[in-house]
This record gives sequence, structure tokens and C-alpha cells, in this order.
Amino acid sequence: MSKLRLEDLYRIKGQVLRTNLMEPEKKTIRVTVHMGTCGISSGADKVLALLQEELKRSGREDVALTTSGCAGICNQEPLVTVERLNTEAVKYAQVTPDKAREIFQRHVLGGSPIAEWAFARGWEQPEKLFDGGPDPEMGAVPGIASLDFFGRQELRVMRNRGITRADSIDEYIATDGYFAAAKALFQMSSQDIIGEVKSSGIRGRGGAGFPTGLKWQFAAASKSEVKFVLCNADEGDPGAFMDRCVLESDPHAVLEGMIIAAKAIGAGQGYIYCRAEYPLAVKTLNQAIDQAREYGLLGSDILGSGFEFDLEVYRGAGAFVCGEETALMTSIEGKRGMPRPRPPFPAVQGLWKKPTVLNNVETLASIPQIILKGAKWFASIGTATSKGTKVFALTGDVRNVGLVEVPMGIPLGDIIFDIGGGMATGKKFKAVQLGGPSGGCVPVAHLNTPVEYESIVKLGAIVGSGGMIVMDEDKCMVDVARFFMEFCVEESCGKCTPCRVGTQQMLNILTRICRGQGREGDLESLERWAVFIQNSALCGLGQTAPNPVLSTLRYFREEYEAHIRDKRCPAVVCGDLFESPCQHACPAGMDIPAYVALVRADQLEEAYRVLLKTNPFPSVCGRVCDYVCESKCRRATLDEPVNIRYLKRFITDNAPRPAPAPKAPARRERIAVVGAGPSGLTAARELVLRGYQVTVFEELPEPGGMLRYGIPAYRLPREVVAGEIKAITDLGVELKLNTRVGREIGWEDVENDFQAIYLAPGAHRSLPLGIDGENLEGVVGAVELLRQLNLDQNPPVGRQVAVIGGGNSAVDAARSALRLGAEKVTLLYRRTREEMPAQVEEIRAAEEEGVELELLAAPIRFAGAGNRVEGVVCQRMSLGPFDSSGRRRPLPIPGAEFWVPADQVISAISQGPEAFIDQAKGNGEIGFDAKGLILVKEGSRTRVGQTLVFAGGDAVTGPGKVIWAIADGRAAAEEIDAAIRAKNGEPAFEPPAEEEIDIPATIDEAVTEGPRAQMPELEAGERRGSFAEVELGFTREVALAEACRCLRCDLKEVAEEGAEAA
Amino acid sequence: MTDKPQIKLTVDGREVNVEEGATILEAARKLEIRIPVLCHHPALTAWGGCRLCLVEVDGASRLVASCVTPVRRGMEVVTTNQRIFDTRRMIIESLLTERNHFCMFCAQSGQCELQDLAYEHGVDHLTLPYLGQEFPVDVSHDFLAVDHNRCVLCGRCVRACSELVGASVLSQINRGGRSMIGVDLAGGLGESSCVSCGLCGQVCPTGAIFHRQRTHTAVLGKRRDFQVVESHCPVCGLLCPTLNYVKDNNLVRVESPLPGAEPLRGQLCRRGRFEPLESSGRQPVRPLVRNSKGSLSPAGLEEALDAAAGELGRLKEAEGEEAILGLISSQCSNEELETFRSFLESFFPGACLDTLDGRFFRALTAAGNGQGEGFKEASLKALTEADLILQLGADPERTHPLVGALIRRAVFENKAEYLAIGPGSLPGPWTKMNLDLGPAQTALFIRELGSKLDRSQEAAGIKGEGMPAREVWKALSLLKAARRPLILVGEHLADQADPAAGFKAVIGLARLLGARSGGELPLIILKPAGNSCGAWSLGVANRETPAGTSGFKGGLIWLSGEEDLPSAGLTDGPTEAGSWTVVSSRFREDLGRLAKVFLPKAGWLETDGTYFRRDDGAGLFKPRVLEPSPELAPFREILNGLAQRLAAGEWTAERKVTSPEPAHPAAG
Repeated sequence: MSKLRLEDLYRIKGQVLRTNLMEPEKKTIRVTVHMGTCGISSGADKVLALLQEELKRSGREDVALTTSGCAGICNQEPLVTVERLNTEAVKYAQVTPDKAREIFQRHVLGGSPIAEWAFARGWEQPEKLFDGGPDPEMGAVPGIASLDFFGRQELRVMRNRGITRADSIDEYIATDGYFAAAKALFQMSSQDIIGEVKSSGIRGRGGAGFPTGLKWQFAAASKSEVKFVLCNADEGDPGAFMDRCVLESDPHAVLEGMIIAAKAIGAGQGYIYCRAEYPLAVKTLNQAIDQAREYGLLGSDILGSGFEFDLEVYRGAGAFVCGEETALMTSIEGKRGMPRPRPPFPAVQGLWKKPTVLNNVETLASIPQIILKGAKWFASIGTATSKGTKVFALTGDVRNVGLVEVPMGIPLGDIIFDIGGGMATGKKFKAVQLGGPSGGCVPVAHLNTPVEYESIVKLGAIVGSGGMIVMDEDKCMVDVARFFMEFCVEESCGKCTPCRVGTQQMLNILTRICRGQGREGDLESLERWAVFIQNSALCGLGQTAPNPVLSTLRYFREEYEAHIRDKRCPAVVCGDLFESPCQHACPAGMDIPAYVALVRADQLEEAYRVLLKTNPFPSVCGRVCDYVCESKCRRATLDEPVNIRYLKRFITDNAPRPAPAPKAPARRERIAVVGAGPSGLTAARELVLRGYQVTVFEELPEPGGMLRYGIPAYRLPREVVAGEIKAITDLGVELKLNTRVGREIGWEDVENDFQAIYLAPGAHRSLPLGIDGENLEGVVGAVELLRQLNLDQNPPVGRQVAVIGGGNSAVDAARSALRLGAEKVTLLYRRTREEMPAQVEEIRAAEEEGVELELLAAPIRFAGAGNRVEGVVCQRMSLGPFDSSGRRRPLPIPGAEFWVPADQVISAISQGPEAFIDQAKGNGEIGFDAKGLILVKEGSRTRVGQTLVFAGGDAVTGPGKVIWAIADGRAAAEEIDAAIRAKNGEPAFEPPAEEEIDIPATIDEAVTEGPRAQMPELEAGERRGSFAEVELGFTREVALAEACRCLRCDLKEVAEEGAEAA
Repeated sequence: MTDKPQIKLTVDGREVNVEEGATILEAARKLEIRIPVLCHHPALTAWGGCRLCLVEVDGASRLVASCVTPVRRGMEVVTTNQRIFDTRRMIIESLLTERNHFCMFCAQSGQCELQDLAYEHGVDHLTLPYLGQEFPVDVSHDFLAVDHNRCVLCGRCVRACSELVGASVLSQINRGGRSMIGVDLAGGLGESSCVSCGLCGQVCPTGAIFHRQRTHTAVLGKRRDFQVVESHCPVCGLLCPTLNYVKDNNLVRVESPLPGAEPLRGQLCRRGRFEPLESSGRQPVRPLVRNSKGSLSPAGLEEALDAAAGELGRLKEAEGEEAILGLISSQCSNEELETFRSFLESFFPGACLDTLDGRFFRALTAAGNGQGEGFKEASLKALTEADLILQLGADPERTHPLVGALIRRAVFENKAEYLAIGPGSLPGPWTKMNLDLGPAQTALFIRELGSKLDRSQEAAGIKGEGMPAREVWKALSLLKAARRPLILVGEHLADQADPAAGFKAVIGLARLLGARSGGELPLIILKPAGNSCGAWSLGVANRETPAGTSGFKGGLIWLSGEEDLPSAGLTDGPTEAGSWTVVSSRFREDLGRLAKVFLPKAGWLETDGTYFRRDDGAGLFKPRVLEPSPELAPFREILNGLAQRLAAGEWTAERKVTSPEPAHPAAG
């Protein structure tokens, strides 16, 4: 092949385009297999081999089978694109060889696309080589641009991804490749090029974000016969693979960028420093360099311009530090890759002490388009200081894992939730790690942050080279920090003391914390080390190594403290801190593996006794718990979590409750408990068991609090509540019903008669909406309505009922209203279903029963005729930016108002405590927050002030879940007991020897994957007009089978012994 | 004087002007402001690794390493404040806790830079936990031990090994906390390509690399309990300056002054650094006299002198003076040489006087005379400037190890071609040609090169019998391409029937390559011993070839150090037991077996004197390192004693010394 002249570029471009436009006598069908490393590792090579075989067998000459690089969406590999003349391209995802055969037969040869396997139609961007109209058979398959993942991207650096062949220089030329180099060589001076790059505003994409044009200017100004252009392709951040994609899909873009850079600074030789772990990239690059040399695009007299420049690939052995520019150069020089001090900067003294420009792959791949299309074009998107696009490797717990190229300035949350499709696990988003080991974790409160250099730095992270690791609530941030620190320890070159020793010391502290051996002062030590390393380490690796620790300390300090002080890992990750994840997750610390094992062994009475050790309300919790335990169940990594809640209920349904032995008071102190809800009664029980005399004051005629008066009987039958409470009163707890402290009995009397007080009055008052018409007749609060209902007062309901809110109370009120005879119940919620706080089963059940959901609707005012409500004026909402909880904030759509007719409106937006205690206790020792919630002392869970007054449950936390109230009650009992003993100078409480219950250690050898057991329910039709319990309980067979699904994470030692034996 | 622009900056509020390109550390030192350093060493390139020299520049939060940061106009440097002090302290503590730095058990305690820094920064306890990783201890080397547990990874040894020694045996291996100093590609120092110069141990700031020979000799907590005596090593004629650590009149360690002058840059070789310590352990002080049964037994000095004088007198009487050979080592000082000559000339005027290396010089002289005129050799510095080194019949690695270092540096720094031909070589993967030829073949090879190079001679095929033609052509083409070739010749070339033949060819070849500035031929001749130049120019070595072995019936052997007789050309004298009358040496008690009387005398460590330097022939005064043992007779006393017994009162050593004034006497 002879060396090209300028005009040859046009000739080749024309040729390729003509061939690819598929003149009728030539090929009319093109099949592309996407063969990036990601594709190959998913089996794209097998798919390609099969297609080649099929093609050969078919003998068809109108079919072109070709390859291309990564198409961007990693978890859909292998991808195959099929184009037929005059129809739209079809992308098939997750293609297996079997599917490929079928696709070849039916679509390629037969002409009928397989709609059910198709992933999308069309191309990601308009500059495709080959186009056609939509295929009528592909109706329901989305066009690729309508998929958020593709549609919201702006492909510049990756413009050729998945389209052109990486091994064809002609195809690169056909996409205007090397035209920029030609322009730079023939029409532009060095200063022109630098000027263009400077005014484009492009900044180094490798991480530091230094203005590229400025870097080039410095190198151009350095006087030397010999200069170098280097490409940093030593991509090493964990979870980052942007550069690999560019190198594998579009290597010539990098080559062209380097030619332009060489012309700009006057270099004659370049090196691409590529890690050896990217064998395909190295191969592709070498191939590209050979092709370019053959075409005379590298070497002497490029395109006849007289300019000389050549390139070589230098393979790095995979040391992370060699991504640091001075270490990279030292490595090319043949020495151990260790950083050297700057200044002198590489632009003055770089490789072999000659002026050198080092740019990252993405930067260099951006250059040709800046030269060809102009700085203005490049700067047309982005923010004031961050121009153009940035490629991110979006990974972690996000639904769409892949490479995304987005305009600078796009909100972080948009990348994660729109492009990334949100959490793959369905769990809550917790943080996103940006910038790898030099970066930091950005928490949920900052999802609106525009992705640009300065804004991200303000958050304590960096844009970095583009690693974006999304983490859900199951990730422990201490563990994450430990992981990154471990990485830095492994990768520190060992040259400078602060990095070498400091990272080890920090890792030791972090490891200790994760093992539950954290100490007071550890966080301060970490901070001290971090500042020390930042300020004294030699190179960027060291100076930024503490960043992940600092950023997690900044946003998740309480998580560190939980590890250190409470020996708890809130995310339930650090295995040294717990026996089993479910038990660690349970606020009351219930011994779940034990009772599940006992169910399996059919020892239900023993199981019941296990339940009662930590929870006096197991029957209740078997029905209405929010089961955080199940969210951490390891079985979910296999199929679905064990149905723990219903197994608990199965125990209490099927075994007699162990009869409590009444406790005779052993101590003289008397304790008052205000409120006979789950929190108060739990505290009372615990205190009686510790020998105290306890009196519970309850305003309402029956004990149980929200269990009795808030939750409707179809979810929680009253006899279940009454039974559990009886077991408590049978122990010797004294109940004073119909007695409100401050009304029936004076606060001072309580203070005088009792040595300690536990306030657990709950939150029994609906909070007002604060809109017009709230005082109209027919507008009620959900709590009030449910209380009336549970007082057997048969509250009147309307014909058309509107319920406002999305929590459990709202759903309870809606379902109750239906049962009470409402014809139509509409639930108005201002966000979408995903954001509804109510439990998903409750929402589903409500819909089954006929409750209509009106989502993205917010009430503006209630209107009525005269005094009586007739309906709600609603505002249609749309989801806007993220709020601090990570949910999208509902924003009104101007002018979009609508009318919901209703003769009754139930407001269920939130509840607060009744403001009675501050009247009773005027000295101000009990503090309240703005919502009227009782404030507890810092460092304590329930203690309120200096005197022995304690508080817990909903009155402290706001409306919460019953298990938390129970946990508060237990904590209160412990703290009250400890406070009294401390006051008396007694030793700490020693729990009596626990009854020994043998927990069987049966584990299945093999695990069969399968769904969890479903709870049988009343038919939806039978539910209307009845408050009979909806959930019917497990049968013995179902319960045993479900119990067998438990993986018994608590049996660590057995497992370890087993492993040793094996 | 340089014409570099001056930069003005302030350090701790004081203005200072330094050259552009100078570091902050240099600016501070100009103001006599002390900045602590650890990885920095004046003889080595800047590293910037330990970070102890951090200073604050323009109030920035990130501190910079002053040893590597060049000054900038108007820079405001703060070298000490609380923050900087705390940071340095943290670095010191980091190092102390990283590995085993329990000073009590360290051979370097009291002479450890880390320990000094800890005291300086008031580290009287540790606030950080120990990291407790264990590393190997390498004791595979004869002279050096490497305890990686005491290493602070300052990289000084690595830099010294590559920058000064040119050996590049040491490097850093592994990453992060597992980083350590590696030897070659793996393995222990003893099995490595180490040239045993010991410089790594000298530059090591802690006890990580230490001398095995004198471990713990000087340990005394914070105190350095020894004197340092400046002297020179007289072993090979490079006369390298030495720093001798002496405790209780024992030599504890030998170091070289760093940074040293070009071209050797203050190195010291195995022979200068370790061998004096090796030998000073076994020091005979009692004379030995062969008794009637023919075996040697200890005797008093007077008795031994009586015996020696008696034997000499008997020999003279029985065989005549011509049968007596006086053989002296060229490691001896000018004074010793002169005295010995004077003694011999006074009492045995007909005896033959020669040096151990006389044969070498006679060959060389014969060759020089053959060319019709004398010539001037190149200086050692020429080695570092050469782009081709042609080594002929020399073994610098064994005889002149530092010349080996210069060759390696020429190869690595100047990319010089290196060809080693003939007996003795310095093999290495970087040797362009390594041809093991005998002395005569080597001479032929040189002649072939010469004739091919000389256009006036007929350029035909290779003439020499068994000459490797390919190598001749290859060497020739390299020689022609070289711009600054240099020939390096050693004593092996003289080991042939016609000792002068090799040298003749070499000098001819050197002339063909042309003279350098000052009329120097591109030729370096490695002289066998420390004062070879002195022995030759004082005329101690015999200009005429002495008669064959059979001619001598006995005589005196006079040594200074650890000279080896057979390799020094004693083929000219008798070698059976008791065939020599007197052997006098400090170290070679074993040689007593050759003699009827063995007289221990003070060696070069205990003697001062003048030596002639190889490069310029200038005299150099070498002070003594140790005080001679009172039991040991100085050389003058022995000769005086013999003189008195041979002819009382006519001759004393003191009177007869006519030593030339040293041209550059070393500072006492």
C-alpha cells in the first residue's frame, strides 16, 4: 500500500461510504457483533464464530458480517446489531449462540426481526453509516434514543463505538478520521492548534483536569530538539474502563490526537503507555499503528506535509502508580515506575529529561473533533469551567452498567437514576464513589450536583478519570473506605514515607474498626494521618490516598461511630460484628436464625421462647413489622430472602404462648410508664423482670396504643394484641387505663410517687396539611378516623373518599374506608408509586381491594358547598431535582390542576405527639423539637434530662415502625435500671442465667433456588365490608419449607470447621 | 564561576541569592539554616523520598521537599514552624514504627542518622503503633550484612550502587509496605553480582547495611566512641583517600570521604575498605627463628636479629654478595624503599635489589625504549570520557576494582563500547567483546589491530596463527568508529617469553589512535602495586633483568601489607622452605616458612610515608592510621639492628633516608 496524500483521504472516505450504503448489487444486510473485551468475555466470540459458520453454510453473498467494539451497555453483552437495507437497525442483547442461530435464520435470512429478543431499534446517534426506516414488525421495541441510557448520552469521544470496525483504518477515515490531522498539518501552525485547544476549554480527562491547551503551550515553549507526546492508557482505577473502550473501539482517534499534539509542541516521537492487562487494546493499538504507518499517517513526511512523527506502544506491568505522569515516564525510561518530584514539570523536563506532553486517552481522542469542528462546537456544551462531554464507567448497584458519555454539568442523580436506571437491587441509593482511590463518596443529599470539576471537588470527591461506582444501602462506608485504602497500600510505590507508612497505618485503623475493635480516638487518628499524608506525600497517589476516608468521614461519620461505639455495622456488612445479618439488622436484635431453625425442627414452643427473649410482641411483629431483617437476608443474593416475618407469625399461631411466671417485686423503686403502647409495655415488662414495680398510665380505655387504635383489625386482629398485652400484665405490670397524666393524674404526683418515668405517649395526632378548606366538614385525619373506628364508634364515611398521603396510615385509612362502605376511594400522592413510604404489599392489597391511586397529585385546597367538603382541587406534579433524601422532589406543573370529587377527605400526611407533657412539666427540662417531638440527651438513647425521665417510641422518633418502639422500650428499661443502680451505687444488672435452648445446626448440603413462600390471603372480594384478617398464615408444610431456605449465616464456626475438614 | 542567573528568595525571613536551578535546601545551607534530611546525600542525585526536609513555601498547606525543589524568584520559604516540626516528627515516628528500630540491638547505634533525627526532634516515646512486618536478614555476603528490618527505604544504597559504583546491583522491589531493597533479580548479596565495594553500607543512614567484620564494636548508645583518621589506601596505586574509624587503636571501619573528587567520586573498593579489617585480626608480633631441627620457633627480637645477621653474614661469606637477592614490595612507602635500598647497598653492594613488580616495569621500559621515546599515559579521568575501552591483558576488577567502576560508568553513562581481550577480564552482559586469549596471542591480536589501522602497512588478511579473524575485524570496526577510544593495559601482558612484546604492540596501537591534549596517549597502564611508580622512579626496582633463579641462594623479602609473592613474580627467587634468609612482614606470617628468620615489622596501617600518585607522579603523604604496637619493631629499627650486627656504628637508617619532598602532602 502506498503512502497517502491528502486527496486520498477523500477517496477512501467516498469508497467506504459507497460500500456501506449498500448499493443494490452489493451487500444489503450487515450484521455487527460487538467485540470489546466486555463482549468477548460474555461470549461474543462464540456468537461470532457461529454466525460465520451460518453465513458460510447459507452461501449468501449479500450479507456482510462485521465486528465492532463495545456498544456501551455492559450488562447486556453480547450484543449483535442487524441492519437490512432500508429498515432500521435492530440491536439484540444477551445473545447466546442458540439465539444467534435463530436471529440469523429468521431475521438476517428471513427478514423478520425477532421482536421479543430485540433490545432496541436504531443507532445511538445520527452520524451512522447506514440507515433505514423502522420495521413495522418491531412496534413495541423501543427506539434506542428513547431509552434513557442511550438517549441522554452525547457521544463525542465514543462517537464510533459499536459502529465502525476497530481494525479498519478505512472506516475511521470514512467517519472523517485523520481529516483533523490533515487540517492541523496543512492549515494550522503550532500556535493555531494550541489556540484552538485552549479556547475549546478542554481539561485533562485523566483526573486532575488541567487545561490541555495550557499544558501544550508550556511544552511548545520549551526549547529542545527532542520532545515527546505520551498517551496515558494505564487505566487503573477500580471500576473504571472508559479508556479501554476507546482504545479497543476507536484506536485511530487516539493516534490522530497524538499526531495533532505532536505538531502542536514539535515532537517527533510518541509513546502510548498501555497496561498489559488490556491485551486487546494493545493488539488493537499496534494494529492501528501499523496501518497508520502503511498509509503514511505515521512516520516521516505524514500525508506529504513534511511533518515527521512516530509512535510506539509501551506496555505497563499494571502498577497503579504508573498512571502518575512522572512514574509513567520513569517506567518508559526502563526504570522502576516511581514518581519523581515536580518541578521540573514534564513540559520542561519529562521523558528522558526532554519536554514532554502527557495526555489521557479520552483527552487525546477528543482532540481531532476539536480541530475539525472547532473550539466553539466543543465548548457549546458543558458548564462555565468544564466544557464538552465526559465518559463515565457507571458500575456498582446500578441497573444499567456501562459506559456513558454525558455533557459536563449534568446532575449526578440523572446519570444514576435516568441513564443508570436506578438501583438494580431495588434498594435505597446510598452513595456514589467518584474518582477511584483518589476520589470520594458522594451521598444521597447531593444528587443534584452538576458533574463538573469544581462542584465535585467541593463535595470532597473528584471527577477523576471517570469511575462511578454506585452503592446501595447495603454497602458499609467504613468497609468501602477500607477497601480503597487497601488498594492504596497495595499500590503505593514505597518511595515516600508518608504514603508508604501512612496508608498502612490508616488501613490498620480501618481494619480494626471493621472488626469491631475500633477505639475512641480512631477517627481523630484517621484525620490526623489523612492531613499528614495529603500535605507531605510525594505524588498524587499519596496526596489523594486519604480522600475516600475523608469523604466517608465527612458524610457517614455516624456509621463509623456505630462501628466503634455500638459495635454495629448499620449496613450489615462487617461480618466480625455479628452472628447473622438478619439478627444484626433487627432493631430488637431478635435471634432469627435460632427460631427459624427451630421451626425447621418443628420445635415451635422452643421457638416461641426464643422470640420472647427479645420481643414481647412477636405475634404483632409477625404481622405488622417492617422486617428490615429480610432486607439483609443473604438468601436474597441467591433468589429471595427468607420470609422471616411470617415464620415468626407461624410460631405464634401454632404454639401455645409460654405462660409467664408472675414476678414478685424485688426492688422498692416504682417506675411510671406513660402510654401503654408497644414501647411503654415493653419497657414495663423488662423493668418488672428486673424486679421493679411498674405502673402504666394509659389515656384510652384499652392498652396497645397504635397497635390497638391505629392499625385496623384486618391487618392486626385485636385479640392478638390483647393476648400479648395480657402476658405482660400477667407478669405483674399494673395498668391504669383511662388515665391521662396531666389530667386524671397530676405530673407532680407521678414525679413524687415514682422514682423514674418513661414517656412513651406515641404520636396520635394527624398533622394539618395547611391548605384552604381543611376545616370543612368531612375533612378528617387518618389517625383520628382509625381511632374512632377502633373505639367501635363506627365513624361515618363518605361515598367518594379521597385519602391524602402515601404512607401506611394513608393506605390503612383508604382500605378501612372501603370496608366501612365507601363506594370509591382515591389515594392522592404527590410523587410516584416508587416513592410511596407504605409497604409494597399494603399498596398492592389496597389496589386489589379497589383503592385507586392518583399519583403525582397534590391537593391545593378543599372545596365544598357551604360547610361540607365536595372535593379536592389537585395540582398535577412532575418529578424535579432530587431532595436531600434522594427522592425526586415533586414540582407542580403550572396550570395543570384537576378536580377530585370527594364527600370525605382523609388526610394522612404525618402524625405528631399531642402537646400535653410540656403543660404538665413546666420547668422546661423536657425539650421538644419543632415538630413537638421529645428531645433525648446526646449520647443516650432514651434519657431526657438530669432527672430520671426517659422517653421513647413515636413521641421521640415521630411515627415509626413497631419494632423500633419495642427496641426503644428495651433500651429505656436498661437505661432506667442502670441509672437507678448508678444512683444507688449498686453494681450493674446481671441478667439471670438464660434458659438453654438447643438450636439445631442442620444445613442443607445443596441449595435449590426458588421463590419464597407467599402468604395466603382472603380473596379481595371477601374483604370489603369485613375487618377479618386478610393474611391467613402459613400452613405447616409451607412454613417448614420456608424455614429450610435459611442459609444459617450464624453457623460461621461450623462452616469454618467444615471448610477445614474438607 | 558560572554565568547562571542568580535567584533571590527569602528563607525564614532572610534574603539569599542562589544560582538558578539550586534547591531550597542549598539556599538554606547557604544561610547556615539546618534542614534535616535522610534520603538526601551530597554524593548522590536528589531523591525526595523520605520527606524529612519538608518546608513550607509561600504559606501553602502542602509542604515541599526542599532537597528536590528548585528555588523560584521571590519564593518565601519557612523551614521550621510547629506544623513542619510536627510533620517531621510524624515522619520519624512513621519510620521508627514501620520496622525494627530498636537501637539497643543495632550495630549502628550511635552512628545512625535516624537515631540522631529522633533525638533532635525529641522523640522520646512513640505515639504510633508498630506495624510489625518482618523482613529477611541477608548474611550471605562475606563483608556486608543486610537487615531489611532496619531499612528506611531512603534509596541511598540503590543510588550509590548505580550512580557511583555503576554496578546497579541494588534496586527497590515490591510495593507499598512490602517494599524492600532487592539484589539483582532475587537472592542474597553473597550470590549476587555485587562487587563488594561496601559503598552501600557507607551511605546507609541506619543499620540496614552494615559491616559483618566489626559488628557492635563501637556501639555505645548516643555516643560515637571512636576517632576518625584521614589517610590513604596504598594497596593499588590509586591511593584513594580513606577515613579510618579507630577505637582503642583498633581499626573499626574504613570509609571514603563523600562526596569525593572526580573521577572516582569518593568510592573505596573491597581492597581498601574490607581487607585492612580482615588482616588486622591476625598480627604476629613475635619473631620466628629456624632451630637446629629445621622448624621455626618463637624468639626474642635480639635473638632473631642475631640469627638473621649471622645467616646473612654466612651467606655472603659462603656464596658471595652476588648470590643475595633483596626483594621489596612496591606497596612500601618511598622512605621504606629508600632505606631498604640504602641498607642493601651499604652491606651487600654486590647483591641484587629488586621489587616484586620489577619484571613488569622492565618489560614496559623495554617496550617504550623499543619505540625510541617515552610517552605520557592518560589520566584515569579519560576512562569516564571514553566511548570505547579496549582492555588488554588486565583484570581491573581484581587488581584495581575502582577502575572497574569507571568502566561500568563509561558503559552505562556514556554508552561506551567495552572490549576485554586477553587474560583477565571484567565480564558482564554489557561487554561488547570478551576474548580469553593468552598473553602471546593477545600481543598478536594487538599487532593485527595495529597493522589494519595503520594505512602505511599492507592491509592483507589476518596473519596471526589462530587469530579469530571475525573478532579482529569487529574490534577494528568499533575502534574506527570510536571518537574517544582508550586502551587499558594490565600486568598480564608481561607474562610471556618476550615480556616486552605485548607492551610494544600496545604502545604502537595507542600511537596510531593519536595523542590527546597534552600529548597523552589514549593509554592507561595499571601498575601492579600501590607505590609501583615510587619504586620505579626511585630506582629500587632493578633496571636489568636479574640472573635466573639458580643464581640466588638467599636474601631478604621486605613486605608492607598482604602482598602475594608468587603472583608478584617471585619466580626469580628460591621458593623452598628456609631458602630465604629473612622475611619481614606485618601480615604474612605464613611466609615465614620460606625463611630462616621471620621478623614481624609495622605494616602500612602503622607506618606513615610518602607515595607517588599514579596519575601525575606527585608525592603524597600517607599518615599512619594506628599506633604501632610497642612489641613491634619499626622497619628502621630492624634494619638498624641488622646493620649494627653486620658492622657496628657505620650505618643507621635515619641518616640514610633521602626521600623526595612530597609534591602534595596530604593534610596530617
